[in-house]
Amino acid sequence: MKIQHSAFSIINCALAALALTLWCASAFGAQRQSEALQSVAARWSSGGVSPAQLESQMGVFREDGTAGVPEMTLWEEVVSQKLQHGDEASLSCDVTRIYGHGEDVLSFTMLQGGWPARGSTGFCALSDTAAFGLFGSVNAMGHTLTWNDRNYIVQGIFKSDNALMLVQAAPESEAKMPNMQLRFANGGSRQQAEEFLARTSFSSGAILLDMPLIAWGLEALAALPALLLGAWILVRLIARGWQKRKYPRLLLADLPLLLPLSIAAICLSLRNLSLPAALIPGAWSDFSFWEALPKGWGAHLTAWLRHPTGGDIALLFAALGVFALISFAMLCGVLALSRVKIHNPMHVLIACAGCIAWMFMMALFYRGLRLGPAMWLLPGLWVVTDFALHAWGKEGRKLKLLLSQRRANGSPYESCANGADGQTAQNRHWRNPRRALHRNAETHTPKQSLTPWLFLAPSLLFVTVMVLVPFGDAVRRSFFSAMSKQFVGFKNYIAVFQNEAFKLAAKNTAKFALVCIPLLLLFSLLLALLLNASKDSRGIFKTSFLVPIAIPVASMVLLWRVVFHENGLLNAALGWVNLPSVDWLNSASAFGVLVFTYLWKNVGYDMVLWLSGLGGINPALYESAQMDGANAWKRFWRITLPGLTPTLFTITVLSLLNSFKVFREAYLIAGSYPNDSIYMLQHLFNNWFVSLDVDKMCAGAVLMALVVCGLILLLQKAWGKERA
Amino acid sequence: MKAKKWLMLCVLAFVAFFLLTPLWLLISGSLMGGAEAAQNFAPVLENAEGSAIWPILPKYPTGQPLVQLLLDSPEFFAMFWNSCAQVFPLVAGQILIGAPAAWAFARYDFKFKKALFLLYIILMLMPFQVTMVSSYLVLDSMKLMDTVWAIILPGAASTFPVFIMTRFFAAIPASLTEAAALDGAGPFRVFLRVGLPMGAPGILSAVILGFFEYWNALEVPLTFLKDPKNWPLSLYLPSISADNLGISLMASVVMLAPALLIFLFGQKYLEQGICAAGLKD
Repeated sequence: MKIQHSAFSIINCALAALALTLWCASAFGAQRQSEALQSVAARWSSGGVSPAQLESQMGVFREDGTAGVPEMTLWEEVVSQKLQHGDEASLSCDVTRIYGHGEDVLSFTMLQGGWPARGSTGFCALSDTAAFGLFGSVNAMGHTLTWNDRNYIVQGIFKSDNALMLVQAAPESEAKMPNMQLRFANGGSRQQAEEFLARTSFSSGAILLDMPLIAWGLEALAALPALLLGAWILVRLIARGWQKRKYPRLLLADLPLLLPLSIAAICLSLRNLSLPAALIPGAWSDFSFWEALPKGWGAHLTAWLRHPTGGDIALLFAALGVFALISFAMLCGVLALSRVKIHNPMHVLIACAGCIAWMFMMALFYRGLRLGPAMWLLPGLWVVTDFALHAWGKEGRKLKLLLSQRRANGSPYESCANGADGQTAQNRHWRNPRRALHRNAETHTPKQSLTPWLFLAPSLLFVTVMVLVPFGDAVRRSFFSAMSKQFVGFKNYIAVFQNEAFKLAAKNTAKFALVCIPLLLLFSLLLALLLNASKDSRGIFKTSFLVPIAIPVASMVLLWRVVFHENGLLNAALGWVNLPSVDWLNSASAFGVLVFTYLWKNVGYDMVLWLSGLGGINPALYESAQMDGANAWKRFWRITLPGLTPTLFTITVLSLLNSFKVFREAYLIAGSYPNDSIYMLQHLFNNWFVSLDVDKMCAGAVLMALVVCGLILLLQKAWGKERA
Repeated sequence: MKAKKWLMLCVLAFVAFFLLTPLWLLISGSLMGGAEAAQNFAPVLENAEGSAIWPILPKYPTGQPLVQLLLDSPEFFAMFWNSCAQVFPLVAGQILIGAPAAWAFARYDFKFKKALFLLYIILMLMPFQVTMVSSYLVLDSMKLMDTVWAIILPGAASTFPVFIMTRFFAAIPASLTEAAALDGAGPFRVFLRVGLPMGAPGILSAVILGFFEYWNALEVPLTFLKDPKNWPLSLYLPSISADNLGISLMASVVMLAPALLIFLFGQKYLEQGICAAGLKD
């Protein structure tokens, strides 16, 4: 089938990018606005409430012990006021007088300092624009300014393009303020505010605006594209199901894919859309509620708009902006969706990665934007669905054909396993490099005897200077005392052997190697055998087994700590099956954790080695054994295992080498002095180094070198025997 | 037969899932944001009641930590740069010094070749703790402790890349070098024009294995770098874990990203490199 490239036409990409950008922009706008709209607003067209009134009312509530009293903030806007800084600078500025919480009234980001607290009359907060105009610098914290013959100290700088100032009124002030914000514990609603205000002594006739509802509306608006995407996915899935209704068995086969996709689509698109309490009636048949809902809203809204403040107009424009952006985003989205056809798994990956990358670029662009899961998962889900539907279509047609054939002649259909050989030519070449080495070596005559040394010179120089000579020095020092520089014979060695820490560390290191290496060999061999047997899906498994090699230890530390802590994930899992919890890192179980980490990290490495060993076994042997009637077990014992023995030795040595590197995990998780069960030679050396115990370090290094050398030579002997 | 195949696939898929889960958790965790992470990990980090949670998908995914990390944490960049300044010159040095030596081992016969190669193998298999004290003695006498060179010089003297590249150079057909020699190319020209291009997979394998090794390095910087301002990411990351969770999680992923990218593009060479180290001589 021809791959359709239309999915990646420039128009589609541009449309999709535009839709995503607009979506991000509107979500950002909605998020910013709704952060500021957390309290119900009340406004008196004439009169209002004074701070003194509020205080006395609060006193009454406190005495009565009334529950459900919201946080109340009074405020008024005084436009075009003249601010003075000394005699030299003055500025025209809008002043907001409040009594309560600044963040409930002005929704700007604080750059420095904070809002003046309730009742602290001598302080103010300035917008950066006003601060710059008045003081010539945004860093105006602590400066003094004059307004209405009173001095104010700047306590906070917030970000706004308009010249704004916020001051606190005095608690005993009798001046009435026309606006009030009521912040209830659960967000609150207009009805709640109405009931509350009826219980107070404040003058009646307040116009109430349900700000949390507006915030919800804005967020819901921003979530619309998610709803659209989710609905679109569902519609396509249902349409495909409808086409297959005549073949229930086919439909059944689709279910495993269909169910998760549709559930994911529903969950993602509806995730943030819980209805606010104000829109839910006590009973669905409560007709007066439905009648009052739009009426009350309409009346309050029109009354509100008759007395607008600067903030209201900004909010109105922001809401309209969100609406316009969302409409355009949906339009672009629909156009892009109707054109997209993805029929190639590679394109699916590219498209999904592209969507996510784009989202993150947007997150960089709009600082502080929260990317809801719907935003970054749904576009990908859409692409996956599109591909899945296409793939099913093909499979379905094949199956339909088979079913009809089967019905026609009653023969069971056969599956043909396809045993494609995944080995590349390069790998095959690698199976026998020894022959290549020898053949090449023979062709060169010894008369060029100087050339190889020239090639070798830099490396030899480095190795000599950096390793060999200093190691010789270390050997020499191991027989001398570092302090008195006197020859002490084997005294350093004896000191090392008598050291309790050394005994413990050596024991642990040996134990670790003895436990881990057989486990690792066995486990990776099993995986290699399994992988060898299932040739067609080899690549993806190989990749996933090798990934741990690439993951830096430092990245894993936090995860490991969370998993293995006493209150961690592993103990939580044990709790489900009613097993006692273990403090994994600070008890003898730390050894187990280390073994697990080592296996996790190295199983892929060893598996690749085993696979190359398996690839070196002549397939003709298996064929002839099969002809002789040997069963799978016999073939494994007689051909596979003997064929692998040469590999076994190298793998052992390399695993031993890698087992020393497990110190990284041990150190990062448990520090310099971990639990006794995982105190290794590496820890010991590190601690000797910290205390600059050169004597012991030299002797220890020589001992360790001897042991490793001995092991290698032993194994080398074994290799040699195998070769003969 | 079919059932058996499915069983095998299931076992493989299970193991793959098990090995990949940490990677997934790491990546999804990095989107968690500081507040959510602090709440989820409180039982572990502050010994609060209950048990820690690591959600499969974060509840409130946010790009904020990435923005903060990339724009607002200069110290992260310093450490990232430290890592780069240590790893890349180190690997480059290994290749520069190692490739000619590997060519000599692979294509020439000379006296002491066997003994020298055995010495190289032994040095390659020595754990760092053996050479730690001797490297320290040299570096200290050269006054190089606590500088980048304390990492680069001992690393460049490593014999492991020589060993890997020898394998690959040895596999170049002799007819090619002979033809070049007949055309009048000298031994260095043959190395440059035939050896390096034909042995490129070997060099790449050595580079990739070296990168994974040193990007992950802990022992060497831990011993030879005392001043935290010289530390590479691998040492610095664990130290920011506790107080700034959102950033620390994201930093883990940013540290992981280069390694993962190199892995995805160089998996073929990585496998070949591992195989080359494993083949018996």
